[in-house]
Amino acid sequence: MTIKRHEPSQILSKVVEANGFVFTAGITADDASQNPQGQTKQILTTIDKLLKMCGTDKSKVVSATIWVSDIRFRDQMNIEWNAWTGGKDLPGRACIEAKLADPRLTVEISVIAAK
Amino acid sequence: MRIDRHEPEAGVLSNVVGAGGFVYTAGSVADNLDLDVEGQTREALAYIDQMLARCGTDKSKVVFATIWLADIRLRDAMNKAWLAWVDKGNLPARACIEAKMANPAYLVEIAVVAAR
Repeated sequence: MTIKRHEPSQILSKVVEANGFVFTAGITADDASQNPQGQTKQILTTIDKLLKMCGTDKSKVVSATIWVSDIRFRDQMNIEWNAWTGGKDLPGRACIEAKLADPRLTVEISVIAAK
Repeated sequence: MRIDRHEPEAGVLSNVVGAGGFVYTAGSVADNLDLDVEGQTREALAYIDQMLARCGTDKSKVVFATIWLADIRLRDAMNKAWLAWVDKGNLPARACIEAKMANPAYLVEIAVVAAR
């Protein structure tokens, strides 16, 4: 079995492939000045890129965990989520409130996808 | 498909479960809650090493880690123990968030998914 790890930083890999599955790290927005909707859009674009790097795509996501810094951001986040999924191939999902690494970050998303 | 469950705890959970090509640990916490967050992280990770060994794998095969901190400002101190533990050539994907814990003395809780 081979494990492929991509885009390592000092502490983590951005995405890891193993045994037919792909695991992304918790992804946050590069431009933290945007509102939760804008941050979600950036995050999902990054996730698309990471999935592509591993030879898969959003239609094969099986699980998503979404952390929002205030649960009231859920509706704004969902606008981009729904635009991204297009209502098709919907993964299992959990969305909860949590404080994130940087107080300007309002959304963080991690997904597991089949290959 | 065979599922291996080990170290059941108080009738509520298994501390590690192997299924298919993966191993899933429960949220691991420190035994000694007098320790600071760095020490608690070290203990939580040592327990994860044990659980991975139970299922025939090890930290070099961890694919994802979830780290919950009682206070997100503890992240830097936690990261010291994380960096000392992690296999630098095999860094897992990771998410680290603040959350309220089962016991207020828990400063950090860590769960991992590893390939085997």
